[in-house]
Amino acid sequence: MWTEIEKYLPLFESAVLSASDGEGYPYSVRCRPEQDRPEGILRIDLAGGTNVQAGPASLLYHSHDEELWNQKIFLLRGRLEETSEGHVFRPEKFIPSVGIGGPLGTVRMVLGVRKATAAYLSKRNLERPRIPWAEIADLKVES
Amino acid sequence: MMNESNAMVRGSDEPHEGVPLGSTFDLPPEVEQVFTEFRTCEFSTLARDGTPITWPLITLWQPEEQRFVLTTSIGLPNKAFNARRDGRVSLLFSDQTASGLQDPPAVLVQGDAEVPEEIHTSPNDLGEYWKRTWRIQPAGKTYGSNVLTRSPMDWYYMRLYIYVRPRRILVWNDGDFAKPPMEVYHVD
Repeated sequence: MWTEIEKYLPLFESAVLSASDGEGYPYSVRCRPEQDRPEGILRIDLAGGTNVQAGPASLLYHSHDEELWNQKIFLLRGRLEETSEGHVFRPEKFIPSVGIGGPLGTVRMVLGVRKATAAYLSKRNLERPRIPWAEIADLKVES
Repeated sequence: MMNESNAMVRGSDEPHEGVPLGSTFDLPPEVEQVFTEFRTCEFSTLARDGTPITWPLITLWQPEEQRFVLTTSIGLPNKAFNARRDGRVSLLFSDQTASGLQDPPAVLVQGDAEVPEEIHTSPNDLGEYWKRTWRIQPAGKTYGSNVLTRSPMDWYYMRLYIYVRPRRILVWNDGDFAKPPMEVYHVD
């Protein structure tokens, strides 16, 4: 996991930390995590004060260009801890998404999505819906 | 769920009564601009173990309905499963790339989600959303534009709708998270 974290982290200036607030709702803030590989953590400065609670948390890294293309996205699942030196995020799982992992990663993702689509329909005894391609084409022209 | 009698909207000065359901939100214009001009929000749902799982999504703000609409393919259903199990969600608007806005605020919307079972395949079911999507992501028009790519990409157009009613809206002026946020809307 740390191999991937170290590979992809430099691509991003900041990340979105999400944890729960006191009422159990997700609460997200943008931050600049700093790696502490020896400790296996990412240090996070929450100087502005937030309502996030220590516990299950995630860090989202994502970027896109001016046309919402060339996206790069990955997520770290883990735990947010509050220490005497501030907040730290302890990653437990690296979840790649769009633009991460090269062409093979893209193929793997599309195959996974197709498999999940089939499973979604199968569990509900639904036939694969037909897509109204002509309607889509018409609306694209209007756009 | 939102309740007309206890909905309050706060501007930069004094709190004042929220507007009745069915009319538009009385939000600062710079906040509404963020909703309409930011390309994505960071949308969080709660996994079974309570971990907020966050992914960037395109949103459609419908002020007259007092809600956001987001969508996901049934091939990427976990966020829908999460929101059906626990409707507490959030949308953070913190990436201004391509928005054209100068020093916009960052905005966090916490709210309650509903995800109906219906699978939508026609873009006309939510034309406003698809027109916005193709406007801000023109290369997305290529999905299914070629007959050869239609079968492999049909899942993209099998969509679940996620409706989110705001419960609390927090604003960080100038997107500065080093300062405490200002609450501009909440429901007790």
